[in-house]
Amino acid sequence: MFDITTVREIDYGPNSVVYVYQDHDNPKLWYMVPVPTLRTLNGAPAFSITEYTRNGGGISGLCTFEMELVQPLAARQAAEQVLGDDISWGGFTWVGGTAYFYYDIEGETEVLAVEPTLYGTNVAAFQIPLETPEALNTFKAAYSEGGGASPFRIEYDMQVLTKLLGAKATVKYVAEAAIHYEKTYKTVRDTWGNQKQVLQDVKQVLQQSGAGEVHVEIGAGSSQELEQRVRDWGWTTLENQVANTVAAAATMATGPNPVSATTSFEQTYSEDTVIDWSTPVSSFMRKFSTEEWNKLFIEVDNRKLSVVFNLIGQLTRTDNGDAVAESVTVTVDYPTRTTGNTFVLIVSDGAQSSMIYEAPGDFPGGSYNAEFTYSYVIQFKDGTSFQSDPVTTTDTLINITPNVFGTRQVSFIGQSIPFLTGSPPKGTVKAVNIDFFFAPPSGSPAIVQTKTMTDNGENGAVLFESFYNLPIGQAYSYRLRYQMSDNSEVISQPPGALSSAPDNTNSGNADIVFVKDPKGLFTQFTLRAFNYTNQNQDLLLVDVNAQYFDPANDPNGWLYENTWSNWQPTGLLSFAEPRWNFEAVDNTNSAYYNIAGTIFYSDGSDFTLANYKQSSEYKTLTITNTIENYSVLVDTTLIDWTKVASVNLTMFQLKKTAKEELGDTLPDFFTKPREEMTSEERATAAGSQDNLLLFSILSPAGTPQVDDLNRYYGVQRLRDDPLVEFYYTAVYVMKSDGEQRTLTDQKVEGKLSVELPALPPTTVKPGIVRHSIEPEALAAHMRVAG
Amino acid sequence: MADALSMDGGGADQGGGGAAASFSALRGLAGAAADDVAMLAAAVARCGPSASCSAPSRLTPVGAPLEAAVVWPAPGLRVSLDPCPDASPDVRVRSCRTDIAQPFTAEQTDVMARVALWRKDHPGRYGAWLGLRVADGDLRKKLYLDVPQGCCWETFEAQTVGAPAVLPHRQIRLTMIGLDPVSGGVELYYRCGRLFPPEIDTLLRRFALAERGAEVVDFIAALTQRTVRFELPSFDMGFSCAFDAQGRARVFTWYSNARALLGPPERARAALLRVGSEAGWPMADYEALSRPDAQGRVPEHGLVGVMLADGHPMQATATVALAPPDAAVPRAAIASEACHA
Repeated sequence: MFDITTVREIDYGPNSVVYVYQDHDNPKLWYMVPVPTLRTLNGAPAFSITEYTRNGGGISGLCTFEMELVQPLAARQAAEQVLGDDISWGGFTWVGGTAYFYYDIEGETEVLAVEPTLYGTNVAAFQIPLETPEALNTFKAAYSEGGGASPFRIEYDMQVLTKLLGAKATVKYVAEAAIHYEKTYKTVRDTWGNQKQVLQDVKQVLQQSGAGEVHVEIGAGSSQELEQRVRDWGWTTLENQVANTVAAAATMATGPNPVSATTSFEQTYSEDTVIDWSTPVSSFMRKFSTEEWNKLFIEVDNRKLSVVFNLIGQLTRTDNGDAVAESVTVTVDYPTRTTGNTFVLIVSDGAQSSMIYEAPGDFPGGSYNAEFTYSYVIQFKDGTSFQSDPVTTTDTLINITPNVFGTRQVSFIGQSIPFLTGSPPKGTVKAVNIDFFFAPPSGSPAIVQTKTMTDNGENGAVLFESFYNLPIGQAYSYRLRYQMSDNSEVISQPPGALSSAPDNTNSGNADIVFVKDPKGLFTQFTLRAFNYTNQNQDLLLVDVNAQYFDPANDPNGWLYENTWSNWQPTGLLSFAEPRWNFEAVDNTNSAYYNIAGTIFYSDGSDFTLANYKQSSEYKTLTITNTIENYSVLVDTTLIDWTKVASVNLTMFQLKKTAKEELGDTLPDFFTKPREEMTSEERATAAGSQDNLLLFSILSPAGTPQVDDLNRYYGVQRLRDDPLVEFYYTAVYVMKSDGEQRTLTDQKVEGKLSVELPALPPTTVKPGIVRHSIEPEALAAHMRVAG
Repeated sequence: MADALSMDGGGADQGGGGAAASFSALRGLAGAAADDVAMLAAAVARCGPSASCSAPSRLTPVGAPLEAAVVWPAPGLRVSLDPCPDASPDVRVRSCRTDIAQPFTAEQTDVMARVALWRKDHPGRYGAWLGLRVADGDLRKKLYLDVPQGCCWETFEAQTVGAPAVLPHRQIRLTMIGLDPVSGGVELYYRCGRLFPPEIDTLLRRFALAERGAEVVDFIAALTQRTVRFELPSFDMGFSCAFDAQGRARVFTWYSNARALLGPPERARAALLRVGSEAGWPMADYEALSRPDAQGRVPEHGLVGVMLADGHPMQATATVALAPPDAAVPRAAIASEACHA
């Protein structure tokens, strides 16, 4: 493992710098952070710009290129001059990363993010449709003027595991400051919502508003330089955490400003904690010589089909480093190319893990046809193979991820858990039982595996790995059960995968779960109000009492309570002060808030929040002059846990515009998890679904029997719409053979509760359950609840 | 040496908010020469607006019509001011010119005429500011002219610099021109998109100045306590170049909106005090000027900058919003056609 305290900066040419780290145990072993470089294929740069001269099918051109991370020979030589020529070089084991392409079109900076392969040279393939003649000309000018650097740059933000040595760091997000800043300086934003696209905005808001804080305390003998490096890492960590928080708020929040639905948090990393150290590296792309440019710039009459196929993620076994399969043979069906339409990607060979597939454009009736079909055959090492179903799509980036190889490798690493024994800090945790689950291929038994962690760091790491030669789903779920020295148990379970990875970019990289101290999680709850203009009534007065329940950890009643009395919302957006802060166990899967009170409107009407219950994953209650809040009880007690291993429940409402557009018939793909949708389907789902929440319910384990707990879902009713409507899908995974059973299309009327059945029927078409509640039924419900 | 940086703080757009240092803080400074401070305070009282002006000024983000600039490690203080926040850009230009009694050189008069022509087609944002400082016992005044957005400044700018433009992808735009009648110099102020460290040297080379971009980068890293690897970590930056009467570039200044680099004013203050004290700079005046008010609010900062004067060590600068004097010299008809009629 490399030692972050030994970082050295090595100059190897004009404006060329690399960073090197010494190994923690072997002083002659060094690691160099590699540099982004344009790939060379068959002696030529892996780069092209195509101009469509006649029929671009809506675009003017296309730029495609491939980058990789390399250690320049000159950098190695320069390093060896400084460090001695008797050193050897080790390789980083990347655990995650993103490659960004920064470019400008007409003064506007654009960013494109892709996931690199995590093996070989971390190849990242980029494809940029040049929508307008100006965009095309900008790109031509950027790369064609001969020699030197282009104005466009590539950045790789890669993560690698190491120990935080010689320093302690605290990262803190103060939501109030970010919200105040947003209100004061930027009242309109439309870029929040996608994790990777929001990151630049997050950086700016954190810096300018003062909402971000990073404190570093260096230990005795540590250098100022280390302090700065740790601070750099702390900021990157904080920015990513806030980006996740904002993206999650955008997925779940009602109201126009997701930032205002975020709440504060704080995280401390003590010395010796294992962390994912970030090593951002960046370089400008180069311009091409005239001779090169003449080969790389192509003018064609008509738009072509161009699709990037990528193998990404951890495709080698953690135990012996072998590739999980030999090869993937991809076949693309498109009308203009019916022969020579098959190519091979080699698993874990960085040089052959991606392909930009091209075909002449198809123009039936004069319009460009972007739709193609692909399928693939995976050749496994044991001689077996898997033939995929054909997929028809218009996506221009196809990522083939580890789950399609049937591979699941997830490491749990303890971060400063106060264990009774083992490495510090010492405390009161005897062990952590980790219940881990994912849906296996059909025909294989589905079980909740349990393993035990007794120490922090990589020595105490717990690995769950499975290798099937058949595809499995992307999602997995887990539950942490901390065994305390007084023989009590603390349960910590995150929400479903949808909420924790809301962008669903088909990540193959989310394979490390950091396990933390179960207690003392800083929790903030925010009550906010929107008073929209041009409505029949305004919010006048709010009287609310909120209680926090965590029945998995304390079945005896509420744990924390707060009251906001006679709060008068003002302006478009306002917050009830002070914010409610308390320290809880991180158990967002089943802990919830119970909220009771009355909202008074300017037209003399009022609304009673009648023991409204909201999942603790969602830490903001939004009250507006256009909606009313009701809660839905999700009854899980009927589920037959002798036969069922897990249930994934996805609940959502429809935006008003989507209701009008879709009517009673929702698209079939709404029954799929987001990560299995095509990007078009995901865009449609994101544009029409509101208030999305996923519950991942595991079969009970340990004592007490924890996962027969009820869940709660908060729904909104438009005040001018008499109906309350919400939808859900449920996927049951059967223990005996991994069969996945779903509920079928159903309409339920008059019920503000969901009863998950013992077992869904066999062999039904996956469907969506739609609940609608008429005003009379709602009034009756309110009478009972109130 | 360049005068205090001044720019469009956008205060009017942002509707004020935040705090400004009280004018009495200026009078109470101990570090600068007492006579100089008294002379400056008197000039501000004479030329600046009174507290009765109701409109927020664009001079500072907080809407204050005055801005004090501190330069380190050199002692001394400069003030920029908006003489009439309520008035139109044209009125403000006339007001500032009237306040500057000294004659401008022929070249400077040409520049003023050119800017006036630009303003005919493009109204601009504020028109002009006035700069004040005391040097060698004399009060020096400087005229800052707003370059209206949308005007064709490129040819004039290239002629003044004497070299073709660089960094076409960094959205470089001439925003203001400073004229010092005593020195006969002209200073060009630019806004730009995000710059990368080596690009400061590209700019310096264009002005035929020594490549000292690394000093700017080191100062930014010290202030932010973060490594500058890629873009300079400000979301709103610019630079200026001061030319002497013979047209030679003498001082390059990189500047950033203080908030865009360091965050809220309390953080900017803490960073400047930390770096200043580590460098052994005289920080007492700035410490006094930026002291929190009774509500604990640190005065809003405008700019933070790094000045590279030809043949001199690096200097740093920061500006702090200043409230107008409570009892200024009575002025007639601020919002009418002439502030200083």
